[in-house]
Amino acid sequence: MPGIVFAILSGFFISLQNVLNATIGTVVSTWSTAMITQAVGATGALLLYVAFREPSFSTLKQVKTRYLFGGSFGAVVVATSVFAVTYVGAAMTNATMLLAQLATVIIIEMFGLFDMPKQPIARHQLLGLTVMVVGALLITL
Amino acid sequence: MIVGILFALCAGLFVGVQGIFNRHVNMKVSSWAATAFILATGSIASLVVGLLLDGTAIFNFSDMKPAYWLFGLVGIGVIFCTMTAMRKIGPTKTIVIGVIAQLTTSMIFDMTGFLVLPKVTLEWTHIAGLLLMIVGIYLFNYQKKETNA
Repeated sequence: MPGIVFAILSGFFISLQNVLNATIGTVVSTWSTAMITQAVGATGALLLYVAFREPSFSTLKQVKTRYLFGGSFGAVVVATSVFAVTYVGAAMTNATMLLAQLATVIIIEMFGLFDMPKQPIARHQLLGLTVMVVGALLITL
Repeated sequence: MIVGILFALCAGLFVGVQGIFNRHVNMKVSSWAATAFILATGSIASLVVGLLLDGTAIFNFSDMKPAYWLFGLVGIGVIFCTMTAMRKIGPTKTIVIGVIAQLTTSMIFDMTGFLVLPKVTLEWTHIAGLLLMIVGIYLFNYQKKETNA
């Protein structure tokens, strides 16, 4: 039961985050929004890092350099999602983002990009995606 | 509307790619250290782009409301709840339940005109669409053998 509660909360928080970011986006510029929210999040994470006494940051050296830049995508994510929520609201933004996210991961795994093991798309995944697209269209139109 | 959808597609694309990149980081670095690093780089990247595009206007916080400063902590909630759920019920169930919660919550936010969202009237197409997306994500994550821990 607790696991389910946390899963529900994670989805709730993701949706909430998009709206909160859009709210900040109405009083400061998009890039300021991205900068502020991530800086605050980073600070919180740092405090939790200390609280949970996690091992040192030095293991970062073991990660392939290009993957260390993944965080910078967050700037684009916040900026574009703020725009999207402002234009089309929460449901459409979240539904569309989910579709794009799933499709992207499928393609990455299909071609074995970014050092991911190659995994062809399974029939149920294709079916699931198609059903989701129809669902998203219904929400949109 | 097309513009909004294009932005959302772009956002989703980058979320997907970022997830893959973050997986690489999480393999070597502990959870909160990785999170702090990832968010910090994101913040710095935003600062750089903001400086390039808007100059020092990026520091114009005059209209910021006090409570807004704390909104960034929700991201911590996302990560903590996702990690905990995955640990307790596995990634598949977490994602399916999470997506259902995410979409349902979004719809409620729209219907209630939460914060800056324009109020949207609930139509049957919205409910049908939501149900289809739930079916879709379940199918997408369907696994014949439940071997998760």
